[in-house]
Amino acid sequence: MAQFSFRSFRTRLLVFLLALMVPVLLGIYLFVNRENNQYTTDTINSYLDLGADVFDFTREEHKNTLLTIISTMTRDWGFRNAFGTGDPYTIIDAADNILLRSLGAADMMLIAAMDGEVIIDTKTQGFERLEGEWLELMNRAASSDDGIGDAIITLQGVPYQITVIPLYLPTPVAWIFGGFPLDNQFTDTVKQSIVSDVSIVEYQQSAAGNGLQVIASTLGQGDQQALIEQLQFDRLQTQRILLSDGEYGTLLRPLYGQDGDPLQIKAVIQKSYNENIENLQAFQRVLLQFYIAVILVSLIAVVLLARSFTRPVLDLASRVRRIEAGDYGQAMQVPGRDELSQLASSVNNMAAGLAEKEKVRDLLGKVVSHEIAEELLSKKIELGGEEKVVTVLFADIKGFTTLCESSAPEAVLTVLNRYLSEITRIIENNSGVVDKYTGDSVMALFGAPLSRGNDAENAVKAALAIQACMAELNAINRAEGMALMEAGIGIHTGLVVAGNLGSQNRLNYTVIGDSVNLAARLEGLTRKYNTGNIVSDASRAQAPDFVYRELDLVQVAGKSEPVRIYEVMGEASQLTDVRRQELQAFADALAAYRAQQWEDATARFMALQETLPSRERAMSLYSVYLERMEYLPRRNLPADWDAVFVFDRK
Amino acid sequence: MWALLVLIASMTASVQAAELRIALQDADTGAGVSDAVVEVLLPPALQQAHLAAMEVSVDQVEKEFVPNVTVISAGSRVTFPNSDDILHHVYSFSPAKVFELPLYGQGQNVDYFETFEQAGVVELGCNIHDWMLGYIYVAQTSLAVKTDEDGRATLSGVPAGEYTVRVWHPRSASEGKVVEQTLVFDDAQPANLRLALTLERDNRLRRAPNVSRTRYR
Repeated sequence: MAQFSFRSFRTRLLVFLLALMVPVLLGIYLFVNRENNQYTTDTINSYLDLGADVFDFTREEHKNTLLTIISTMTRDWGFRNAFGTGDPYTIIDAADNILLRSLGAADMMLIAAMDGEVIIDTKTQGFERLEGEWLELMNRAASSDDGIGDAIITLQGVPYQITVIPLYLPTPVAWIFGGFPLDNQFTDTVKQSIVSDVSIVEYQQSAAGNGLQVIASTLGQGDQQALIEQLQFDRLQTQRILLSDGEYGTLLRPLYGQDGDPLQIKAVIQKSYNENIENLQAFQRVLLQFYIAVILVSLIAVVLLARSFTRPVLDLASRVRRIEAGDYGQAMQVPGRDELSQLASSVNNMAAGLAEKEKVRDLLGKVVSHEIAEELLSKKIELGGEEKVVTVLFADIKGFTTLCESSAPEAVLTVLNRYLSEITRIIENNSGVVDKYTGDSVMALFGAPLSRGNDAENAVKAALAIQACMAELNAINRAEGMALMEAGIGIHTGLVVAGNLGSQNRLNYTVIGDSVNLAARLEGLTRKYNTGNIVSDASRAQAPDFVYRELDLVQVAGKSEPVRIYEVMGEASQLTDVRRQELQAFADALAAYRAQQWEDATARFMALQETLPSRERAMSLYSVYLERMEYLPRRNLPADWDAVFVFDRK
Repeated sequence: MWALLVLIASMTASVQAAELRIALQDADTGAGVSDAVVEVLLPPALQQAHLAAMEVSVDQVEKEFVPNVTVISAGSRVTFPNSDDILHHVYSFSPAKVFELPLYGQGQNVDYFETFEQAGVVELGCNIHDWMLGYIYVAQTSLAVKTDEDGRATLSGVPAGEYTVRVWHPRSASEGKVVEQTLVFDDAQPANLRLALTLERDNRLRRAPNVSRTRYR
């Protein structure tokens, strides 16, 4: 099964937010919807209950108005007079007059004598004596306290609200029935009060079949038909009926007859759910718009939040990658004090630390040699050191003092740096380490901090290379009109103490010991012996694959043991035969010198001297011995003269 | 249904004149029935000898007819003075006498008489005050009398013989509000008429009738 993973923090946040919000919003929506539906139903029901009450109230009011009108009008003197005539035509005209004056509140009038004989009937129904419901109503009124009664009576197919009251002249002399039809005008009037549709529906049981008929209604024809088809006539609870423009809550109110009667009339109060549903839908629309707005705002907020989070993170990541590549660059600014800015601050500190370290390493590599720098950086730096055998090389540029006197300081520094750079390069190429520069001289170590096993050999190679290089550098100097330089190199191999020297706050990696001093002395002796280099016996023993010539046996200042010193001439393969003969001649001359055969030795050195160009003769190795032999024979040398030449000055 | 209970009818024949002693009771309560009219119906031949026209007054006091029941003989004249300080409009649509005295006040119509020729009961009303109701009983002869508060009355001068005696009361439950009975009159001793009348409750409109009822369910 594949592990799902988000491609970005933003997506993760978005999905999280949506997963959180959508169910909540949906839940709210459904809850509100359900409550609203319930509310709509309740509202419609209460509307209908109220509507039914108002319907009854309106009917009662109409009835009372009718009663008031009939009662008042019939006590009118004119009507009394008319009735007093006993003439039916006059009375019916007077009755019609009252109906006209009632402004529609009364629609029919029937006057009967106290015994039920019909005197006049504006609807001319045709019966001469009261019968059926009319008679029942009269009897009910006669047995009541005030002689007043009312009933709903179907009159020529239309249900009428009928009231009856006695005609006082001044004693009751007749029954006056007045009525108004429960017709469209009535339903329209009621509708104005209850803002609901009103219908009067008649149920008639007949041989042809039981049928419902709309007698009056505020509904259109089509809706009346729909009402008839769906209406449950015997159900008194609210029912839902679908009309042309939606569902209607429908409530019935009995007007006439009881369940089981062959003729029943009921009022139908109807209220559309639409109005409330429209409100509901409007509310839903607003709610949805609100949701969309909330989600949009949230998404934007999340995107911004994610950006505010991921952008610094991405920046940090790329910063870290650059740091990894060695670019410490500009410090990165993340405003605020949150975790991210703390992280950025840490990265900055880290970069600064790394840059600092790099800088130190770089500087260290310049100030000290690369190997020493590595040695220093790889270990814990502490004072103290270790004893080890190291080959120490001192290289000095002869003729530098002359240059200083004759040239500008900048030119001197340029030339010096050129020479030192070359010397340093050569030393490092031969696995040496520059320990320090002292003016125009260089101290180099072979075997510290790391030994390569052939340290003396490397040192000798370096010495030869330096000497070879001097010729090239001098060519440049000659072209620039500068003084020419020569190198003097001293090499010795011996035990030294290598380590960090100095104070706790400022250290130097270096080596110290007699061997270092000796190497320095040997370098100094090159001026005495007019040679390019002097290699100690110890070094020669460690680098035997070169051609040397023994120069002397010397005791340097501060040393009790004599040291046999050599000049390295080069690799054996590079040596010419003439050179070999010269070296052999020198060795023979040196042997004669040591044997105190002064004349023979002098002759031999002189012969060697002759091989040199005349300008070099005064400053040659041979001249050194020739000068000695000018005064040695006059000295009283001991019998066991060891031919050690003592240098008691540094 | 109406009930009439004859208790005692003792008669003493006389060729001269006889006396009728009347005592009427409420059949329900046993109390005397006042304002009942008792008339001895003489055959037409005898009527003229016992007829004397009268002049009486039916006053209107505090929006009532006073007396409430007035007995007169046919041909009598009645004046309807107004003792109230408002106007009245007296009328009658009774078949025995239809008349009206349009709005008049105190001091007016004092000398105006209506003559009641036809026997019968005349119901008086006021067109301004619907609850005002008065009765004028127009008897065929002068042999008619109204009971007092105890329901008693005495009628003298009745010729000996056997006649129908009619008892009328405004609230009588009987057909036509009358009860009739045949009595024999003679000179030797008075005839007694003791009747228990069944009365209907007072159907008169109460004062300030509350026509516009506000009974809503």
